[in-house]
Amino acid sequence: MDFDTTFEAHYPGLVRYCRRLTGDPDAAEDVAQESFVRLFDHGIEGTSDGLRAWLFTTATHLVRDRYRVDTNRRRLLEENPVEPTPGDTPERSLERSEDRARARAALERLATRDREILLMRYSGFSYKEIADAVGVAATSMGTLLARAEARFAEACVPGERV
Amino acid sequence: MTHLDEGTILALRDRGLVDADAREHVDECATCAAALTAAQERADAVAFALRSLDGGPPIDVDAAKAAVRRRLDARREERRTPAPGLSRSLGRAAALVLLASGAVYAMPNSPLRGWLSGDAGTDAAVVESPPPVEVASPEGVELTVPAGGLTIRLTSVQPDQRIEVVWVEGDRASVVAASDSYYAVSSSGVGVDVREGDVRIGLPTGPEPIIIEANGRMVLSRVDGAVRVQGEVVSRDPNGIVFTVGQG
Repeated sequence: MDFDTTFEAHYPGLVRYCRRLTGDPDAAEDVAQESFVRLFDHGIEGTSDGLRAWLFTTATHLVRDRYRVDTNRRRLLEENPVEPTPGDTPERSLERSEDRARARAALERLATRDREILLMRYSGFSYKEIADAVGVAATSMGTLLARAEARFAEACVPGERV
Repeated sequence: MTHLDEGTILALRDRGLVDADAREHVDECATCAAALTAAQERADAVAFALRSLDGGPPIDVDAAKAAVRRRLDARREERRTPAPGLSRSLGRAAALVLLASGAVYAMPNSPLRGWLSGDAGTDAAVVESPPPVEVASPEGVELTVPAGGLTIRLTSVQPDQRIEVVWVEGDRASVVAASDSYYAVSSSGVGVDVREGDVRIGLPTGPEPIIIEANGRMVLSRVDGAVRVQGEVVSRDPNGIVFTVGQG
């Protein structure tokens, strides 16, 4: 795949994943771009799915390195408050803001690996691809994902009790 | 009757690795069938909650493309214009700093251990420890290849210096260069500032991606099982590859 095709196929999805992972749109763009720089700089080749998995894995590791210390993440959240979406009524804007804050807080309560597993799964990756990215056995992925989902849902989804 | 555990239920839901017995069981067991339905409902709720995080400024793909091209150009330009006589000492310095970090990490009660494990005055439940750093010995380095892959960065490599890659059984990679070479190991890679003489690299035959860089340029990659050498190949057989980096 050439530069333009690869970029257009995978960049938006990678930025969305990084936004979920970091909570910071600027950092998300930076990490996504650095992942693409490394992909092209190293001349990595493969199928579209293979390149996508490589990009997400690289981005996951970059984010992990960048936010190794918890205080960095907390400070980031304070610096990036939830912004209203244009066109929303004040009530809807408030509701959306609360939903987002609840989801973000629930993600932050997860351990780093659980957060990565959850977000990669909900970006459409297979258990094998996630296992390769985070460095665990694919056979234990169901158990790890169950735990991450349960903790996230308990903190975030109304009425969910585990 | 023994019911399926939650992990198996989720693997069934997500078409992960489960054996045929589990599939048969859920067809016959009302309790596990209900658990599978509940897991699907929870997945829908989690997906909905995660979508609430997708707001923010629109993604400008064209601007990002231009930014990536600029970064690539800058990186390649940096490689083309090394400061004369500086790269070798910088390579040694970088390797020493990383090696020193590893040595400090290895000390009992090292502050670096606290920092790496994320509990330096923070909530340890949120930040997990990274994989342990392995300290290289002066004679070479050996480490387990991480599931996400391994990058070996060689510096101070001469154009005609032979790099010998040998495929090995197991999951351990190794790098051995001349006795006064400098080694540094992190959780995802190995850095070696090499002296004169052959460099011998043992790589497991597994599926993990492997990249070998020499003086900042990729000279060998293994992705999806395909091995690609961008140096000058001296010999190649099923046991391994011998190559030089050439003039680049």
